[in-house]
Formats: sequence, C-alpha cells, structure tokens
Amino acid sequence: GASKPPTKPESIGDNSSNTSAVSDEITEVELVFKPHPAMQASTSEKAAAAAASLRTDHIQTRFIKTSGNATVDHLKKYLGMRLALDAQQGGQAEDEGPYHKCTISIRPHGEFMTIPDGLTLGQICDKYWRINKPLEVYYHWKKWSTN
Amino acid sequence: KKKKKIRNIRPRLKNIDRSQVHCQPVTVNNVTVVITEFLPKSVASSSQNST
Repeated sequence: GASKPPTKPESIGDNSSNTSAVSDEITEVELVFKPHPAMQASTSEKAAAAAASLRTDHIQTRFIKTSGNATVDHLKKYLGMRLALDAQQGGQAEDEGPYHKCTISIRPHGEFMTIPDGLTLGQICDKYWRINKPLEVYYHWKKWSTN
Repeated sequence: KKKKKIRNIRPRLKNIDRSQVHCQPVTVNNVTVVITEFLPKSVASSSQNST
C-alpha cells in the first residue's frame, strides 16, 4: 500500500529571527531643510512674493528626521502641508499650489544640484552626500524666480 | 555561518531641541513615511529692555 509521508506540524513562533532583521533595513536620515539662497529676502523678491500671494515668514530652515526610504516627493508634500497648516493657524487661506512646484536641490561640493523626485534620501546620501555632516537640502519655488 | 552586518550611521543634527517635535505622516504613491520636525534650540535671552 501507499504510505503517506508524515506531515510536520508547523512550529508557531519559529520565525522569531525574521522579526529582528526587519528593523535594520530602514535607517533614519536627519536633514536640514533650507530655503534656496535665491528665495532669501531681497527686497525685490519679497515684493514678488507679495504679488504672488506667498508669505515670506514661512521661508525658514527646518530640521527634519525621517526614514531613508522617504523620497523627494515626500519632502515636497510635507513642505506644502506644513506651510498650509501654518497659514491656517495664522488665519490666512494659503494656496498649496505653488509649493508643489518647488525644486529640491543639494550642494555637496559648492554647486547646487537638482534632485529628481523619485530619489530616496538614502540614495541621495549614498550617491551625492558623502561628507560627514547632516544632509542639507534646499527648496526653491519656481514661481519665486522672476526670470 | 557569519552574517556581515553593515552599520549605516548617518550624522545627526546638532543644536536642536529633541524634546519638542512635530510628527507628520506623509503618503506619496502608497508609501507612507513619518517626518519628524525639530525646533532649533532657543538661545537663552537673559536681558529684556523695556522703554
């Protein structure tokens, strides 16, 4: 007669080694999120900002921590959300539109380099930011430039 | 069997107040990350002039 192979009972809790391996993969990135120098406070640009209904007091350096798999798109969206939130708290209705059009760049060796949207912060650190200081990311709205 | 562990240590921010944070989940293309914003350490203002 045919004999069935004995079935092994599944061991519950045998995969305990898997759970500890997950946390190692996602690393955190701390970065300084700065306005691009072109956005900073020349009189003509402030006037341009006022004309474009943008508030200049929101242009500030932000200190951020997030996971390494966050992309440039996440940063852009976060910036838009924060600026809209700040505007609401200040009693103003803020248009999020201009902030989605912002450009994200870094300056690893003195020259600004625009970062593509899909790149993660981990990739940026690995490819471009090989210096021993926190990542510095610059944001710049296209609407801001007058040319 | 030895497993090689790669330690990925990134430089941390300085001069920030880690006790006051603002956490905000952000979702793009079905990927959600939590972005934590710190405030800079406030400079101790010792004197206040009144006129």
